[in-house]
Amino acid sequence: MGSPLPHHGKPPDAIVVGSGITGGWAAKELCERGLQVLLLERGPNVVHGVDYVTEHLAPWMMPFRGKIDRRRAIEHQPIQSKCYACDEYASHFFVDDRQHPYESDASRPFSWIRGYQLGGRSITWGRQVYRWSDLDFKANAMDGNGIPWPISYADIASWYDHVEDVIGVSGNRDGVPELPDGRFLPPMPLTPVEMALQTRLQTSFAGRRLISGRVAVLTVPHRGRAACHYCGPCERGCSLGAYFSSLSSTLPAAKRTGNLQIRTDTIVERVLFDPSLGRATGVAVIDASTHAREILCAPLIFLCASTLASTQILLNSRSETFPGGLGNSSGTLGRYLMDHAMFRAVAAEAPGFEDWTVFGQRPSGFYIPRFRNRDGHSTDFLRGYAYQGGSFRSSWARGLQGSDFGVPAKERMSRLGPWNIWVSGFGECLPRRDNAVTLSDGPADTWGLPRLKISFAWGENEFRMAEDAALEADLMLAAAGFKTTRNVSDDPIAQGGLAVHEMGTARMGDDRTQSVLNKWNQVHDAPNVFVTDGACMASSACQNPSLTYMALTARAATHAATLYKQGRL
Amino acid sequence: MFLQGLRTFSVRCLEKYGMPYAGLSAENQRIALGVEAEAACDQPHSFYRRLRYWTVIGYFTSEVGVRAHFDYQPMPAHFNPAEKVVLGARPWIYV
Repeated sequence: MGSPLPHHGKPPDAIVVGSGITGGWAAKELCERGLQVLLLERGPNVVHGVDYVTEHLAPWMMPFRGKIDRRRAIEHQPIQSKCYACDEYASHFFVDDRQHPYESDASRPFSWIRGYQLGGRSITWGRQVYRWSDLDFKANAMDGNGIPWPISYADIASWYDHVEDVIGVSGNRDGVPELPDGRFLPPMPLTPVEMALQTRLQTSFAGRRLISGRVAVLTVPHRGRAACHYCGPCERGCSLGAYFSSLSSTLPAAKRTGNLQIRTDTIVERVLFDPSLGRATGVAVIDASTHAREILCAPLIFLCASTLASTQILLNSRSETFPGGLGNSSGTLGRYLMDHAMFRAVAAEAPGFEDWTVFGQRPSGFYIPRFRNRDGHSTDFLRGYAYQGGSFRSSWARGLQGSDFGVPAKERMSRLGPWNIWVSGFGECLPRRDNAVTLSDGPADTWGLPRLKISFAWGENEFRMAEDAALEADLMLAAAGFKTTRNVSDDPIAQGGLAVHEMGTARMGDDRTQSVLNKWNQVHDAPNVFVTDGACMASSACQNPSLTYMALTARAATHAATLYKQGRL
Repeated sequence: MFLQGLRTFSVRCLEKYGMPYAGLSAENQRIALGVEAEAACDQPHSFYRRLRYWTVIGYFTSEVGVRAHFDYQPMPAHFNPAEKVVLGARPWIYV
C-alpha cells in the first residue's frame, strides 16, 4: 500500500496535517511525548523572521502605500481582501482565490479566508484568547440546539492552563465566572476613555463589566520570546515572536525534540482506510508543484488543516465502507457549520479627554463579556454575545471627511483629533443542519480534487441578537457621555466567514449516530484518526475560539500518545 | 472616471489660465480648486471628492507628509495609554 518510509529517518508514528494553530500544537505535544511526527503543510515554507518581508516598512516604501493593489485584489483575492488583515503588507499570507476556488451560493454566501503556508493563519490571526465556561459547554444540552458536548469545563481547564503557560497570554484576573481567569502575564492597560466606560458600567449597568482584552501577545519576555514593542500591525509577522504563532512557538518546540519532520507543498487528498483492520493506514498526498501522487503511512493521523479543510479531506476519503466520506456514518459530516455573528460596529466620539493621548500601538483592546441570558433566559433570543472594542485619538484619516483643501486643511488634519471609541459585538451562532459543506460535482481544482461547496446563512436568532447588541451599545456609550455615530452602510451582521471563526462540520459527541468525533476528538469510525481543529466544535459560544482549539488539541494529542505507547491504538 | 476628471480639470486650467494646474500661482490654484469644490459640494462620488480623498491619503502616507507634520515612531517599544498632551508638539504616528 505504498512506502512506509517517505524519506530519510525513522517511519513516523504520526502524521499531522496542517501547520497552523492546531497543527503546531499537535506536533509539539506528540513530539515531546517521544513520537516521530511527520507534519504536512500544503503551502510553501515560511521562515520565522526572514520571511516577514514587510515588517516595519513605512507606507511610502510600499508601491500602493499599504492599500491592497486593487487590480490584483479583484483578479486574485476578491474574497481574501474582505478580511481586514489582507492589505498590501500581508496579502501574501492569504491564498490566491483563483488558484484555490470553492463554491458558494449567491443566496447563501460564505467568505472562506485562508492562509496556505507554514504557520497557516497563526501568522495573521487576531490573537484574542478567552476561555469558555460551562455556560457554553452546557448550552446545547440546556436549550436543545445541537447535541450535548461530551466534555465540560472540568475536562479542559487544566489544558487551558497548559496552553496559556506556553503561548503567553496578557490579561487581568477579572473574576468573571462565565469567562474563567487563566495563567496571565501582566495585562495591556486601558485608556482613560475606556476606564471611564468601565466605571460607568460598574455604576449603572448591573452585571456588566469592561475588562482588558486577553491577548496572546507578550507584555514581558516569555520562554525565549521578546515582549511586544507596540509597533502595531502584527499580521505582517513579528520576528521577535512577541505574539504567538506556530512559527514562533510550537514548531520550534517540536523541532527541539529532534522528532519532527516537516514537509511543505504537500496537499493531502484523503485518508486511507483499511476495512479489515477497521482503522486508517495513512494519507494520499499530492505534490503541490509537480502534482506527483504518493502514499504516506503512519499509525496515527491528526487532521489539523483548519475547520473546512479537514472536513473536505474526510468528505473526500470515500470508500466502499464509507461512501459518504470517512467518519460520516452518522450523516453529520459537513453539517452544523458555524461562524461568529460579527455585528456592525458602533462608534462614538468621547469628549472631555483632550489632555490625554496614547503612546505606542496596543495590539489589543477591551472586552465586555457576555451579559445576556447568564442566569436563565430573559431575551427574545437564545444565548448571548460579547463586545470587543478599542479607543484612540483620531489622526489624519478623519480628514477624508469634509471638502476643505489647502494649507489650513493640511494643518487641521495633522492636529490630534478627538478621541474615538468603538465596540463590535460577536454573537453566538446556533448550530443548524442546513449550514453545511459538501463536495461539488462541478469542475475539480488544479490538483484534480473536488471543490468544496459551502452553504451558510444567519438565522433569526443571530439577527435578533444583532438588534439587541446595537441598542445596548448605544445605551452604554451614551451613558458614558459619548456621542455615537452609527455607520448605516454596513450590514447588521457581516457575511458568514468574515469573523474567520468558522467551526463545526465534524462535531464531537457521545452519541455516534449524531456526531463524527468522540470526546477525545477521535473519529468514531476510525479511532486512530483525530480531528482537533475548529471542525470538532459542537457549538460556537461567543468567545474567540482559538484558545479552545489549542486546549482540545493538546488534550487529544496527549491522550493519543498515551494510548499509542500502551499499544492500544 | 478619475483619470477623465484629471484631464477635464487640466483642460479647464489651461483654458482659463493658459497653463496646467501645477504651474499656477498659489492663489490661482486655490481659486481653481475652489470652483471644483463648490460644484461638488453635494455629490459624494464627484471627481473633486475622489481627488481630495486620494490626495489626503497620498500626502499623509508619503515620507515628506509624515515627517512634516508628525513625530514618526516606527518602534515605540512601550505602550502608555495616558500620555499628557504637550501643547505644540507634533503628534506621534506609527505606521
